[in-house]
Amino acid sequence: MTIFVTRPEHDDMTFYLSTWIKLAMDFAESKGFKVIDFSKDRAIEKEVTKFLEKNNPKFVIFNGHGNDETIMGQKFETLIKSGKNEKLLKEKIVYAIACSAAAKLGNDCIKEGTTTFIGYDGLFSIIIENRHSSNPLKDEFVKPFFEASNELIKSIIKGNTTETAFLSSQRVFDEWIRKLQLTGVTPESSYMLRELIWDKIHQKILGKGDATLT
Amino acid sequence: MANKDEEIKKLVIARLQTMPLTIKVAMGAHGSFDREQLISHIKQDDEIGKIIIEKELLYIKTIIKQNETL
Repeated sequence: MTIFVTRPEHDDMTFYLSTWIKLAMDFAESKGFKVIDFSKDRAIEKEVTKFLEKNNPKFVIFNGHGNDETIMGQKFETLIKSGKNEKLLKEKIVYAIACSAAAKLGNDCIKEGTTTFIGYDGLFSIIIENRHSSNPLKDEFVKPFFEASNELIKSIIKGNTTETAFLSSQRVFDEWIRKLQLTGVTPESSYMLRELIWDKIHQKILGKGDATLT
Repeated sequence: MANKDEEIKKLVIARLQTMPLTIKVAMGAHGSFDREQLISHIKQDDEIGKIIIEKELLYIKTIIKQNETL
């Protein structure tokens, strides 16, 4: 079974997204999935459209920027837009780590036949520690955000339903929020809490909750 | 209402003053911001400033609600 991932990389956020999603991609490969990786200059509309039209990945993961009508790729190029090409995502499970895409585009995709669309209906925000900004995997302050996000992907890979995966991700958010509160509020943890609470509240699941990859 | 908004802005700015300079907040396509940049956006009353305030109020409400259930 094939999973399709876009990984643009052109600023802090996309570099962090692109680096941390690799952990989930490696997990998928270890479970026997074929992971098609369109990173950097391949994460553009022409390439993504061509692939989705010719192939049938069941699970599509978009990393990158977005707004309520758009998912973006490399250097903010539009990949998927409301009213334009939602049909490319028909009969697929989609996870979009793209700001606000679940606010409108997600529902438009569902109307055009996307099985499940999981994303965020607000800005996706993270904390970055300056000294690790060129090596995101060493950044302990960002770890909670991507553990929660990657948990969703791993849960779907394991064969769970999309709703189970969503709740699993929400639970990881909750565990980190609780842990950061219990271990005492340091200056950094206080700001991590703000962004974790925000991202957790804005993570949404649309469409079928009982969809699986099998 | 204008006074209340101004008081909220002052509160959020005061709370942001404790943000370490060793970290920044990456906010989607808007970019990454350190403490001074976040405060500047609040003072400018722009879209980013409004989101920062919204986040802070959500954080405060969430913490209060959690403490009420303890």
